[in-house]
Amino acid sequence: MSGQQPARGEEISTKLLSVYGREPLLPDDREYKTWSANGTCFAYAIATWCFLTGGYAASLVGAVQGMVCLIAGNLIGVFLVSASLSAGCQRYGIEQIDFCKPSFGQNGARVVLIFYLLNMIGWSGLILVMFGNGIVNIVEALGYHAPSWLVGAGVALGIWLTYIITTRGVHLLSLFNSIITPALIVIIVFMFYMLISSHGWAEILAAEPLDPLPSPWMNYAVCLELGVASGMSWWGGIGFLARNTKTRRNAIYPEVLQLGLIFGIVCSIALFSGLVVGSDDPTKWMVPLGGVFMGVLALLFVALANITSTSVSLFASGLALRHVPALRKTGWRMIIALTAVPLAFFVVWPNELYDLGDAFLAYNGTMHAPVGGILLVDYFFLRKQQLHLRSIFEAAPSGQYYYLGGFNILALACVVIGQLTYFWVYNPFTDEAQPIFQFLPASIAAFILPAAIYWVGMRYLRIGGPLKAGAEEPVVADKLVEPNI
Amino acid sequence: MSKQENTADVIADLERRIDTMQNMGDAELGTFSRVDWIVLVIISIVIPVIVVVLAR
Repeated sequence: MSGQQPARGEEISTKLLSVYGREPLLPDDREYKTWSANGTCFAYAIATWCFLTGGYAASLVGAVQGMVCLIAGNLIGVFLVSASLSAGCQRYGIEQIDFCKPSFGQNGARVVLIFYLLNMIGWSGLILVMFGNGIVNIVEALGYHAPSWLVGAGVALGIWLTYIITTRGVHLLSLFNSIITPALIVIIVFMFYMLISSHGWAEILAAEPLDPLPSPWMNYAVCLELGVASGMSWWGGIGFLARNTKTRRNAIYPEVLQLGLIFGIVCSIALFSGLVVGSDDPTKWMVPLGGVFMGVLALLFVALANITSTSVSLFASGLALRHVPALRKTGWRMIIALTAVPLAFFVVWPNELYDLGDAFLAYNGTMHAPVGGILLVDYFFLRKQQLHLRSIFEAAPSGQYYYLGGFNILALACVVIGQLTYFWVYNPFTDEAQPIFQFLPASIAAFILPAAIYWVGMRYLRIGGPLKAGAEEPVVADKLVEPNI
Repeated sequence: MSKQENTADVIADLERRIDTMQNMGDAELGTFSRVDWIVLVIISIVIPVIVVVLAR
């Protein structure tokens, strides 16, 4: 019996290494079956970011147009960025920065990593501030005075809870979701019921937007852009979720249905709440809609769901940090602690950083759209869903994905072109737009143009480097020469 | 176990995983047919675009 223990320990050790590291996850290592994949995506989807998005939409449009923009826009955005990521990350068991290496190059993928970490940390920080605001509203609903430092203290508490969950692994996260998810379903149904029973459809449909722009078509176009961009901003979590699923259907359907459709529906309920209550601050809706008891209960569960969502973000960020050579052998707890360090800024300046949320949403659209377009073209149309897995983990120039100095300049140039395209079609800081913005969301333009340029450049001009095995291709060894892990 | 041995083990494990996943057939990771893609495109692109145009 004792002779078997080292073998068992070794097996557990290598499994943990793959789960907490970047090694390809074998099917037996993966946690998510149909229910848990849907549960995790659902819990990820209905965190306060959908309330934030719904509140923002309430500023621009009414109930019907807002609902259309949020649901349709999210579905389009999620599908465009998740199709290639889900298929590739699930097929090869790799996380998304590794999935970027065939198109961006060994070092070029690290440029995407910087964007990615900023996205994950930014979202996590905003959600934790809303967690802190939720605590303030609970305290006030119970009749107590909430001191101004309580929001920051709430953020600090959220960071600590997130650290505890994230360092315990995917299994605990999955277990946590299986408890929180049903409770959240009840709360959202209750919120919707209270909206309908207390205010009715007529009042919801008649409610005016809170702070619209002068041009009606512009409000609709900006709201659609908000829907598409927020759908695309799921880019940061898709690879992590897909990599942990056992089947291909479980990799993509839950993402489209939960992150696209359900997220859009919950955003719409948030939109209705914002329109009826007359505030775009989500933490101020629950008590007026549900009364003190149910309002506080709802705030409590939504706050817990925020912790789950932040945990998924931090888990994915921790995996991504494994790409930094100095952190490859660092312990998992230390990795998570390092990932959480930037969140300390949200403890000190919660409201100041929260006010920059609009600019952050715009940044997301400019980054995810071109990267998503390039990955889609690269995986499906250029490589026909066939990757050379060893080359993803090969840092030596002999790997197929080394390109020039580790960078695929064409892919990086296409990201810049995509960002410029976005700002040309629609500038979210000044609200200036080209006439084409009436018919084409800026995120879609920033998705299509770089994807097309990348396809032509790689397929016909071969700017980036060789695509398939051939005479001019670098010689790929049977064993790793310089593993990047 | 020395650090060097540990690194060698990690790389050996990585090589094993690479070989396993590279040689694994698509069917072993669940079926996914053209019908799935058609359903997804209809749900995620076709219907949303029609609704957006109608609500404009």
